[in-house]
Amino acid sequence: MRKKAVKKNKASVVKLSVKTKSNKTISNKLELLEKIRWMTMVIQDSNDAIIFQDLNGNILAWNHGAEKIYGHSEVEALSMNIAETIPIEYQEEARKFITSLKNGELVLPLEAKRKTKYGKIVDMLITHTKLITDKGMLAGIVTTGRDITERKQSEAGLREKFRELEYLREGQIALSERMRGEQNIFRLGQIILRHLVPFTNAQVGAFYLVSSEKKLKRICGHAFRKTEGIEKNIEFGEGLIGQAASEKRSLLIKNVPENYFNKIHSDLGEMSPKSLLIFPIIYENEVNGVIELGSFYSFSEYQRAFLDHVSESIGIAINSSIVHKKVQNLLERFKALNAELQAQQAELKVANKELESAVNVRDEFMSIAGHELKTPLTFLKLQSEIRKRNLEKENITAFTNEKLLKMFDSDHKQIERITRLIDDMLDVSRISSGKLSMNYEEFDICPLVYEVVERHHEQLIFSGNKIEISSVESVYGRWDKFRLEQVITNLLTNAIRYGPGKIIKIKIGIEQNEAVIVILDQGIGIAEENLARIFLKFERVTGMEVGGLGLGLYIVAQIIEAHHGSIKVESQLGRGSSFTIKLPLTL
Amino acid sequence: MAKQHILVVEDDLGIRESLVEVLEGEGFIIIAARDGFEALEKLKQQPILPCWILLDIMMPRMNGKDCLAAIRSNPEWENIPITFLSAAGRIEDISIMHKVDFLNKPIDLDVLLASSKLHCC
Repeated sequence: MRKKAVKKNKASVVKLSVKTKSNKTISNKLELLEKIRWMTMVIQDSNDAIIFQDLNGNILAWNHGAEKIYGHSEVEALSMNIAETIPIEYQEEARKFITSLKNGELVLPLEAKRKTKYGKIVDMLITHTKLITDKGMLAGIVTTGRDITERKQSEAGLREKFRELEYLREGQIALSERMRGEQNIFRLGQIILRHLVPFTNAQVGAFYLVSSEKKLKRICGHAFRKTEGIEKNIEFGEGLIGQAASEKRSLLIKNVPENYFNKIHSDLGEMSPKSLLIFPIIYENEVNGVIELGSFYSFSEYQRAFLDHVSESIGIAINSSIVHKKVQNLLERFKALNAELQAQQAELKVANKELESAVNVRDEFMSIAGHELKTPLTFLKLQSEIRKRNLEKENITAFTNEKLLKMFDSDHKQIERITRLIDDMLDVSRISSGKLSMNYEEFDICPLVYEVVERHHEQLIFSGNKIEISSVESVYGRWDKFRLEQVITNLLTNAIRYGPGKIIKIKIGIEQNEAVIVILDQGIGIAEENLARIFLKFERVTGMEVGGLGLGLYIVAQIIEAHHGSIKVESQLGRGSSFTIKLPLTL
Repeated sequence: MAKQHILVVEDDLGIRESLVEVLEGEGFIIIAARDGFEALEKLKQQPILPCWILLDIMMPRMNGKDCLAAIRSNPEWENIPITFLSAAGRIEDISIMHKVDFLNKPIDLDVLLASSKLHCC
């Protein structure tokens, strides 16, 4: 009964088309019939499955393509419902689809799964055509289906491959990211292993670096148990590691012999890896390291290809780390050299400054010495010329006995002065070269002090100074008389020079087995900041230009020191100074 | 002709006395001072200005350079010729060079006398 219905429907479809052309001429009708016949042939012979169905899904027509794809013959198909070609899980979807077709919605070609006579699922690209009666009623549906199983499969294969590639690419990028900027070779090795081991589904890894002696040295390991003797250097060509290095190619060992590899160490116990992947790190055709990975699973050729691929970027990173280290070392050396150079320069600068100031001091000293020596010379020259003139003029009154005596006396004084200046200069030179000699003898210092004061009698009258001496009866000791006279003379002349018209007090006494001599003036005094300088060579701390070489107090201090004594100064600016000398009675 | 006055400023007693002796022998009246300070004091007290000042450079209290500056700052004294007695030749750092010259120590007597005649006759 169903068959009849189908045939009847089929006829009405043809009639439908004919009827639309009913106003055409006979010849046109014949032409049309011919066209319809051809089209029917095309439909019948198409490689695509073309299936006519009514609105209940009963199959009305089934072409060769459908026979080929679905396996059902036309006869079989004509008694089937279209639902029988749809896998159960897709039937709901198919029903909804038909509903939307009936509702007049626009339906695009769709990819769907269909089931063959033998239960095989095929991928189909299906296009729907609605069959409309001349009254505009939907009478059935034609589906044109193309088997796209192969295409789908190859697409899926491509997608899979693409996914893997993407995974590896991401792995490579992630590795590059992690390696970036790491200049320390040990940390770099750790980073690489920490990435590669989980990424390749490995459990253990080791990183060997080529040393400057061209030996492979393991610098880090991942889940690696440190065992005795494992840290030895591996020669190129020695073992699998050396082999990978010397041959510059990776090795994939699928079935590792028991105990060959160091056992993987973990909390779970010890297990030997099943598969090994050893690959060299190459940079500019030179092996600079080897990475070894071990896994309980099998490494694929695919992973090996990946590692061969990333080994290049690892090589670059390692090389950059090595170069960085070299540069860093050079930089450190350069810095050290630079610092040394700077220190030397600073030293030189200081030395230069010292020299400069020494030269300045010397120049000033020369100028003062020149002035001091020229003063008595000026007197002597003037006097000799005056006397010559007087002689020439036969001025006898200029050469009375009294005047001649005075002349010789003053000449003598000037010569003494020159001698003293030269002695001072020689003393300084002797002190500088450590050749100041001392002649110690036992004597009383009190008369010596009086003697020196007496010798300055005239000068004291001229300068208006009064002298007060308080002294014990005698202070005997073993000293150099000549040098101590020099000391007292010096301190006294200073007191006169810096405090004219004032009282000068001298005290002589004994304290704790030491002779103590204090010379106190009421002169200009010495500023506190200058107190430390006054016993130095060539120092004259007053702004006033007074005679003398500026050597006096220096020589004094040196003489006192040679006697193992001490000299101290106390002073107040504008109030005066007091010099205290202490000399051990016995050396 | 009234006797001309010369001011001699020198801290060294021997040199000062020698200068006084020789210049007095030439018929000048000599005013002697031991330092710059004393020189200014004596100039102030002097009713007749000296025709010449012999001025030592290195002296206590007030040195020759400061003394020169003080003398030149007084309009009455600014044209008195001044000769420095220098142990170190010509001094370059003296700013006021108006009517100033130098006599090197040890002093040559002939040059000294020639200078006195140049300035005072």
